[in-house]
Amino acid sequence: MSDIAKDRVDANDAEETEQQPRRAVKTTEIEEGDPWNTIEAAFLKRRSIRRFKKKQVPAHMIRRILEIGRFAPSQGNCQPWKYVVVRDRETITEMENFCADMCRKISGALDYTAYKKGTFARWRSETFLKLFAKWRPSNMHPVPFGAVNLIANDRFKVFHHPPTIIIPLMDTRGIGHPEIDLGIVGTNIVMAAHSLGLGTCWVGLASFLNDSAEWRERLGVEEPYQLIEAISVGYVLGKPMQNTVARETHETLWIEDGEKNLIY
Amino acid sequence: MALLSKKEMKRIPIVDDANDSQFGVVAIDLENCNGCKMCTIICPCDVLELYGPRHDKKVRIKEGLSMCLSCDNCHAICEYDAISIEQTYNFVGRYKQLNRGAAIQPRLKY
Repeated sequence: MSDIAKDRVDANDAEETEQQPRRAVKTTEIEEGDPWNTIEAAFLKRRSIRRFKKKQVPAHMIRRILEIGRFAPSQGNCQPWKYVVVRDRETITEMENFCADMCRKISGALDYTAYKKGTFARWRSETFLKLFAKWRPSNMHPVPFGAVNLIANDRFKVFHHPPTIIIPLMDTRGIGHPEIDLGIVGTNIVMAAHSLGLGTCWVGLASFLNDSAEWRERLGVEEPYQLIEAISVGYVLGKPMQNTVARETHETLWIEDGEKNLIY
Repeated sequence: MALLSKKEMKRIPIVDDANDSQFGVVAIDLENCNGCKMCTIICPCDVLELYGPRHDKKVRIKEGLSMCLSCDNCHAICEYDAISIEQTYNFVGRYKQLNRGAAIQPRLKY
């Protein structure tokens, strides 16, 4: 056996995967105005869930969701990910507290809305924020700024206190843009969970854990892996997915028959 | 030609300045709203609150700085179709929304 083959963990030693029956996929004719099919409707009705039941999700369901993630497309089939699944209430609470502490530190230095206009303190933190925004513009968008303030004021939990957190770790050696591959895996996971009736929420603020040596060790994040996002998974509380929502239309440049048109 | 000038790219909007930041606004149908509180629970930005007498509560946006991100989750959970997004968020300078149309429900005809 070669060195490369030895490194692989054989997960399917005993289980033999069943042969799926071969079936040709039929492309059905779709007319304009036809109702949404099941999969389209699932995409339209998915919402990020921020209220979970306390009940734990069975392990086999999480395994099933990860299995769907395994078949996500990736650049050059490089599959630059591995997972961490956290199902301990205590660990989840500690993770939440750690991220909330980080939010408090950031909010304390950068939250200018806490001071009256025209005061020195206000001018100081406004200037500080503008400098910070030059360094990391995407992190200083006003919307996450609001979320960080809510978390700092204990009005909001970072991971929304779910029973299970799935963290896809990114292999930084991935081909091209491994972040995109990670996003595709995440989408597969989220949609698989949604199809099983579970609620999910992407948590970008989880990346604070990546900057802490203690948490990197506790979650097994080692070079060349990086923690970028986490996905909270759990049973949905209430019925937050009754209606579809309104979203902005986006400009599309339509190039056809030598003509260029803008459509929305 | 870039869509944002260099001067605009350098400008960072101030959140509590109405000239710089426009946050989401929800329209509430007071006839349909029965004060069931679901939207205040689901709101990720904590901007909705109940008001009014005990047996006739209605929902409204909190006074002061409301950071509604126009996610429309309140509409998604409402059983009585009483709340929906009226205005989406937008900023000046670096974080200005570009090339967007109005917020609408999923379309089947174009």
